Amino acid sequence: MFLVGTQLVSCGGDSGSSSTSSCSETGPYACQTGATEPLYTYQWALNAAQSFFASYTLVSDGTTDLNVDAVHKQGIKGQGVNVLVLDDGVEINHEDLKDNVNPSMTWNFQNNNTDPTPTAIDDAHGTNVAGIIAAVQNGIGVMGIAPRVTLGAAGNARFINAAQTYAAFGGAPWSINAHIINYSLGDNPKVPPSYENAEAVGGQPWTNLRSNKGLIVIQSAGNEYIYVDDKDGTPYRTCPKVNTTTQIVSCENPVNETDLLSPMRLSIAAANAKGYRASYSSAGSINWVTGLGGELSSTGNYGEAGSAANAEGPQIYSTDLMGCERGYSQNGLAADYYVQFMIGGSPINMEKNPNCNFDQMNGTSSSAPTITGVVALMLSANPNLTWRDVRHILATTSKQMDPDYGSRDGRNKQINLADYMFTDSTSTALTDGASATRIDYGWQTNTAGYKYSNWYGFGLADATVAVAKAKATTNYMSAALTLPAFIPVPAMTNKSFTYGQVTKLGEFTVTGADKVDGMQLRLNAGTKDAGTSDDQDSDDSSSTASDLCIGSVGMYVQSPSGTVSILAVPYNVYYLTDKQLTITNNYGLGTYAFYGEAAAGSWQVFAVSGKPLSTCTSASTSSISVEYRIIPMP
Amino acid sequence: MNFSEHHYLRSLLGFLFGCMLLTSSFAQNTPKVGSLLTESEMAAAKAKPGIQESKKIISVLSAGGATVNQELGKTIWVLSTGGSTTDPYTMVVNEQRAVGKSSNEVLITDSPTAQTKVKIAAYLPKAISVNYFDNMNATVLRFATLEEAAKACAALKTAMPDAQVSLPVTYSSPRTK
Repeated sequence: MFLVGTQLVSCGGDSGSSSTSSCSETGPYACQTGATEPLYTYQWALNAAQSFFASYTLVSDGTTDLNVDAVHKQGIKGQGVNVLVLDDGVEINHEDLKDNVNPSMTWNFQNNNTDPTPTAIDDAHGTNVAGIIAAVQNGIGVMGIAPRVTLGAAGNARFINAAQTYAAFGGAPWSINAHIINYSLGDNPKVPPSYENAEAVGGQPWTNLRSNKGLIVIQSAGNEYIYVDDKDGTPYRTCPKVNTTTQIVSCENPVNETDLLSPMRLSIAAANAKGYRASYSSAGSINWVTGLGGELSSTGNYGEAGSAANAEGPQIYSTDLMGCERGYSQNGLAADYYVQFMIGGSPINMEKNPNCNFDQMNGTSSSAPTITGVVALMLSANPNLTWRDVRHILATTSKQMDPDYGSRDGRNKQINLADYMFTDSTSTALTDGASATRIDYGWQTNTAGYKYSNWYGFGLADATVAVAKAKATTNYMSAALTLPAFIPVPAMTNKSFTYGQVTKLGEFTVTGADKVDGMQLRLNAGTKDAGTSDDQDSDDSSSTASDLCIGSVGMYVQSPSGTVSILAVPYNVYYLTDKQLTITNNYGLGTYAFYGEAAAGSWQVFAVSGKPLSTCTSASTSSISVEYRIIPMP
Repeated sequence: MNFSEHHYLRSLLGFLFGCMLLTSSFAQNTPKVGSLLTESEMAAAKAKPGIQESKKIISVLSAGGATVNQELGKTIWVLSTGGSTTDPYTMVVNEQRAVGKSSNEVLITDSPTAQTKVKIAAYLPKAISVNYFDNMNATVLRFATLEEAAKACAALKTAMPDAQVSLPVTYSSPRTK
């Protein structure tokens, strides 16, 4: 438990590692930052200015971090918070983790025993995730963002069935006491997935957990901004180039991992040490906030070589499977692809990492646990926060980063929908029948005053500000969550649209005093009976097949307040599949761009469509049916 | 009753009439969860007995039957079965050619487990396992075959109109990120 006001420690020190004000933490590392750890200088996410990388200006701006040190100086380090890592496994006897591990919070789905330590020599992913959150402050290696949390872990947490999933997410003795779950896993389905699982229809079992304050699940947004690697031996899936260049918009949409449509799962994007979106970080309108994941490629001694402009730079230092025969730091690695620190037997390795117990890892797999660590600090400061409080504090304290990205690389220009080439216009107009429109609005401030971006969600988390707000919170938001049923819109049932242009599909009107938390759509090709608002529970709903080239269909929504959110872009990940998909059912999309706005009024829905490939059998027009739901704030 | 779940149920009930007739052509080399069948593989699957559903009825198609595409994504064919007596599963493919996996489970949510226990008592003798998640108002029954699970699911949907009763099929293949 977090001790309040029990002792004031001596302050001072010469490294800036210690508190300069009252602090209640006790112990040899009381109120000290991670500067007590030998690899702290490489942990730029904790303190960029004091980082080794600060002087390497091509890969670091020396300022982009999570502002963690000030919290640590207050002695807030995750005490009293239980974090469960669901992953490929965690080496629970790692020298820099074991003191935080609670053996009663561990499980292995492969063997059905309590040891989640991976057996495969390359399954170091979960051990990295765990270290980013929870590496112990002990004078060894690295330090986690919340170095005094209680750590649990489940190994082989992929490919689990319904019973195992419920067990993992709070339904088993080893998971029931979790306050936060980190889930750095995800899927990129090859066809548009149906959003119709138990969560989609209202079952929200996690609100009962954490003494009815609700479980908090932190999840990776995905690493598929440029392409999708299915890791099954098939070629990478790519998306059409915009104006002959890549990287204008995200190839994959995080929403295609339908689990992320649950408001209780926070989709976490990744940024690099230069303060930009990491080159791989998937963008979409359900991203909540951004953590730090580092860049795609990392070379030099520690990641200082190259340039962020070329997707190079440092990654997130953490714990690795111990020994130079296992894990990501290993003997025999190629210098072209790995930093010297991780190459077993190299001079740098022998000096700084002789047992290969530490490494660096990138991805939204790394950025998610940085946010898990921040949330652990928030709950440590105020364990009474509900899951809604946590996400609201993150949304309202995260920093707008990269404020001008919306106009970089021509991203602020309209595109011709017929050929995906830029026009000269930068108008934000979204006009029914137009052949051109914007495909990215960059940062937008909605009418509730919140800044939101598909790249960064509500921005880069700031631990110091978030913890301060957590401590100051005394009025708590309800943990209850009942998802309303999807509502079919007669005017948008079997609605025709034309490829290569903007088509206003229709409007629907919402009444009442609710404020918007999230907004979701479900799409069906052709007809889905309009029915009533209870249609999803109907025995007799039916659909009529119709060709729909979903890879060419973007979906935009304009709120009554006038904010426009791009839920899907017109040339998306399903465009270049072997044969364009001609059907879809209950394909789910979502957005948090309207967070806090009044729900009442007229909402407008637009299909913003590209031109399908000839392999898609649709004619120049197609039809679509749209359902919606507004998820209200409590 | 949930729209989609019920359609799945009806699909499964139907095609399970025919699934036992499937040859083992896919069983020898069933694709992984989340993968897509090729057109030829899909054609082969569709040539087998399957299920076509309309608003009220389930009709079993004979081998090489007519186009099965009046219900979007609601037609499923069994590719193979596998696992062990304690860990059985059924591989399926949907109309989008996506390969999925069922662990022959029936998921009951939004129902306190104390109430669920009463309702499912008649099915426990046939179930190979049952898990109660008291704190989440959820129960998972598991059966040796998908057909048994589907039958139980059909009955429980009627018996528990206020609960969500479903047959989970996962088309997801999560990877580390």
